[in-house]
Amino acid sequence: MRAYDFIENRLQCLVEHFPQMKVSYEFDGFSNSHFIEVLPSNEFRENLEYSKYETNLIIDFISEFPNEEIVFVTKNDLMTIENPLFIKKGSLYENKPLFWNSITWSNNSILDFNLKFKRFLGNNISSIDLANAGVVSFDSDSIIISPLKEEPVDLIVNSDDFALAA
Amino acid sequence: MSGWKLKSEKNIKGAELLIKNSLCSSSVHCSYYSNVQLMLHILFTDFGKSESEIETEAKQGSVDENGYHNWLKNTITRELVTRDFMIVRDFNNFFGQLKALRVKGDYKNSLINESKAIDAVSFSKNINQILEDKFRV
Repeated sequence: MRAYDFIENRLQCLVEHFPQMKVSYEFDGFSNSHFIEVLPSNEFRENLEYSKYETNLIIDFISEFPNEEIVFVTKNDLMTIENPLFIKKGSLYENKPLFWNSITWSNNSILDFNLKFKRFLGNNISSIDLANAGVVSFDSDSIIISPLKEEPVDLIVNSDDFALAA
Repeated sequence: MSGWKLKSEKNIKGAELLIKNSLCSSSVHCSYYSNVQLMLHILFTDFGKSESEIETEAKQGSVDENGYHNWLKNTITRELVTRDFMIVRDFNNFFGQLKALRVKGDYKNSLINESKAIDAVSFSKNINQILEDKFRV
């Protein structure tokens, strides 16, 4: 099996295992390195389960193809992917709802929702077109807001790690 | 202190001086070699290999693993797996990126800007820190 096939197979498994992620692949012939850009960058940096998965992939690759290199990068890294040979997106990557974790202030779910929503707006959003947004669900830990399917929601989010559904 | 360790330290200083003097493309070479030299030092101190053993193994490793640097990185990585599994990806990805940037700086018909050169120093320092934390240096 060629290194390319190995990588393509494993990255397919990766986005199935982590459907919120997207990977882009590029080969750098000068350094004989296979580059994989992983997004969102916060998942790349903070998701422990993903870190273990990636580490195992690196170890397997080195053992199978010691002549070549595999390098995982993310946004704002030293190297960037400019001309990807392929891109694989997890099923939740593009349609990932906007969500955030919060705490519960009271047993009144509507009050909690309002407080969380206000806090969220203050922290994360400069403007939101509420006419086109629909609240899908919320519970004690999180609120999930998805846009109506017919119209894209005009969201301006301070952190560009949030994938915008549209 | 071995010659490798001393050269590793000088190369980081060299990279910073080159950037200060606007020689950014040349600086990446120094940042990268600081890591290579510290890895050689680790084979000498932590792995307990003599210079001639390193030379012999490197010669064979270069054939088996597509070059001296690849062999060196793989040798360190295999040991790192046993010492701290979770740090392997940082070591692999930092070094892989720095290596690619160094190849670009040395061989490609494009220049490295100051921002990238500064990042390269930072990557190199991070790699050296991982090595210092996990191996006897």
